[in-house]
Amino acid sequence: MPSELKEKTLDAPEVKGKSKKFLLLTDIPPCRNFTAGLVLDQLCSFLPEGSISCFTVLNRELDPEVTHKEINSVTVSKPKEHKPRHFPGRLGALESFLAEKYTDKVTVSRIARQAAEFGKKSGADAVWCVVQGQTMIRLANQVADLMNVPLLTQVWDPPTWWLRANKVDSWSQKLILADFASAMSKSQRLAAASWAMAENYERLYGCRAIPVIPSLDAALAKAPATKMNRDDELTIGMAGQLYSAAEWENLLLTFKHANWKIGNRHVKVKVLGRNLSLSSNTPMNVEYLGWRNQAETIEVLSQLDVLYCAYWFDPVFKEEASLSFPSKLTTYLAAGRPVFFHGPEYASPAKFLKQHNAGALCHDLARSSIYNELEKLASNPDLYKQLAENGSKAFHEHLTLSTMRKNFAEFLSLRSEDLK
Amino acid sequence: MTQSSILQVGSTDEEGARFNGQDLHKQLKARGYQSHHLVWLKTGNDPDTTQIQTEKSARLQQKIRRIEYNSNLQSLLYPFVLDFPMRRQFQQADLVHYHLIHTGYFSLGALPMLTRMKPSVWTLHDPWAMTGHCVHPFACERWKIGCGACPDLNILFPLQKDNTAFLWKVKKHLYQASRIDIVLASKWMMKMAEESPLMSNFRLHHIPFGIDTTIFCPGDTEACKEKLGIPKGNVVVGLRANANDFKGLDYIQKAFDHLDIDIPITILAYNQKGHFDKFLGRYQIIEVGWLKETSIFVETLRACDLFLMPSTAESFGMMAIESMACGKPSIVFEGTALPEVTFAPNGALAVAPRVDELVSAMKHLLVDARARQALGAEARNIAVQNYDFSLHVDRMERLYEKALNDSGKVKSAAQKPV
Repeated sequence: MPSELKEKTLDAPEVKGKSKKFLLLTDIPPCRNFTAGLVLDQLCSFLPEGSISCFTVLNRELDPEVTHKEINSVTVSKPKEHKPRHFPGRLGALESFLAEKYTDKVTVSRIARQAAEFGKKSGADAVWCVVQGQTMIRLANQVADLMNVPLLTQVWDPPTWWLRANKVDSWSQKLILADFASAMSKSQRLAAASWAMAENYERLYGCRAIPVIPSLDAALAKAPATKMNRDDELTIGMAGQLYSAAEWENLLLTFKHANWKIGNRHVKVKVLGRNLSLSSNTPMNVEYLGWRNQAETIEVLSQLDVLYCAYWFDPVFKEEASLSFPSKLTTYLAAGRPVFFHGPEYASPAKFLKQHNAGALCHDLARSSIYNELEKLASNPDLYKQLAENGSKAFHEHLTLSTMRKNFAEFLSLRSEDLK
Repeated sequence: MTQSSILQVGSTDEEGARFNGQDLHKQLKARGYQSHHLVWLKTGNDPDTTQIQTEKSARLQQKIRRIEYNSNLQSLLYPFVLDFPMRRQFQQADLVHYHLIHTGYFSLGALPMLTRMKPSVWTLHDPWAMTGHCVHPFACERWKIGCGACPDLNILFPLQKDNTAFLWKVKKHLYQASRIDIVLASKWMMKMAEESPLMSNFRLHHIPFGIDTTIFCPGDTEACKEKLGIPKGNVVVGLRANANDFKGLDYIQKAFDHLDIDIPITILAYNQKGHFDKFLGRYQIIEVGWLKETSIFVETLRACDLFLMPSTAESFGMMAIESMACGKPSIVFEGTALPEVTFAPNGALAVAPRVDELVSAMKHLLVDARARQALGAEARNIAVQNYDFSLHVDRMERLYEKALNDSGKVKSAAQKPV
């Protein structure tokens, strides 16, 4: 660990063990129907009663099924992060910049004061901020400064993705990314979404970064599959958000060109998730099962043959692909079926799967490569069994709640025994 | 001891290193010449290769490209080589060898100045230098009489309006003011150049391209197949998948469509991907893209049982001789440089440019393993005897010497490279 890191940790005011209280500052509260909320739900379950209060800056279009109702909470509305532009080109960018500036100086400052006041009243000794989107990035430092307490940050994804998706103008992006860097640098500790992110951010921002990866109760895990369900069928599962559109499209096109067959097996795709958009003028073999809770999702996935996880090949998303970690991978590995990863070699899930030899990897967008990798997996029973076994092992070693609990304790600078 | 200094000029270094001047530059250096390669875009790490492009010039190039396209001009407005006389590498060179200069960075307008300053050699990689706009005129013969009334403006490089007569005249004017030794890699190109009024001012030399036949050589086909995940018993057909006007992709696709044969086949496609999706499940498709690493490329060639190169226009056919050197028979179309370059019927099968002819030749070689092996062995011998890179460099050396001699800039015997 660099000496600078040590000094920062030592200088930071610490309150001993059990008496420590945290203000959770987040845009999604602990809940059971959003991925981020599910992770927070698990993390909050580790904390002793009374040690946390929650200030949520919620996008009012979302309807989270809140858990942990015992937590002292306040919810305020999040300012719009996707601002419509009424003018084209630079004029539109200027409009976006001015609107962002106003939000920053007026709305976010007001929310920061509210959050700080709430945090002080709750007696919080530190701010635990989930840094996602421009509002939370701006709030992180402001609230910690107003409360004069240490800042602990948690990052799901690099901020560039959010800013791009919300079409934030480039001038505002620069300022927001500077705020992000400042929040990271000032953080006493950082909970990263992947091992790669922890390593990268520790090097970039000089703060102690601990990987706190979306994990699951080991009791939910299924035994690894020893063979495919049938000799004439290949069932492929996809659960969760569908963010890699080009990759998904190529998967479906592969099946279309191959008449929905891989080798001698008929292909069936089952999708679990909040939404799915499809169109085709040829026969398709896709079944949409809608959103299911985690236990049910794992149950459904464990009855399929192969589980599909895609990440972006587009170099525009290189940072996200390298640093993020999809929570669906945890679910897949818990389901005990081999993962078929479709994305670039530098992607963090690809590295994880390669390291543990726990998935079939397809590093090419070409449909012939997708076909060949799937055929290799479907036609080799030894490989199939080995990948399922290794995947299950990787899950139990790295992605269960006990590992998450240990890392979370380190993130909050608590002893493991201080957690539930 | 002073050594002759040769400067190669081209579009890039790594992609097409075997014919774009990069390998030649390295060989010349190994033979004791002072050699340098000036390229528009450098992707490799050779210390004696210098990139012309800067961030600013790359932006300007895009603008000029648009202007040229809109005004129906080609390779006339780019200013990037006008500073050559100020460049150390150009100043120090005894001779300059131009390669691919028509890819959008070089102005032909600079040729008279540059070729009068230094003895110059220009390798023509296709007939563009002899036509009003196209890379291949196919059946059109208007390039012999000044172009104009162009039958196909969409062929590479396309024009919006027929400005071919003007462009032809501009080339003639500029060539007349230039002094260049022209290199043509095939007799087919040589014949064309001899018939071209534009080339009348130049000395023409037939020097085939070369490859390192110790690297491009036969190997363990079965092991290479296994490495690529090709099942035992599959017959592997190598080919270049490129959807341009003259690589014959359409013929290849149709041939596979019509191929009615009970043999498991693997299509091993180089270059572009996605052209064989319709055959997924019917044939094994392996698309390797454009392989930079020569050793990997050679391994994939070794995995092939035969190679298809049914170009409808081809000035040389580098991939055909690469596969020949690896002991693989090729199938090519008549009417291009390929039958001559492959020494068909000894090193390849040359057929009329028709789908049924292609299918029939494919069937013959797919079914008859002995015929494949015999033709492949002969192809290997032909490649070694005619296309070894050392032969190519020997021939180039002799040409350089002659050009330097004639210009009075030749080094004395004592000063020749060792």
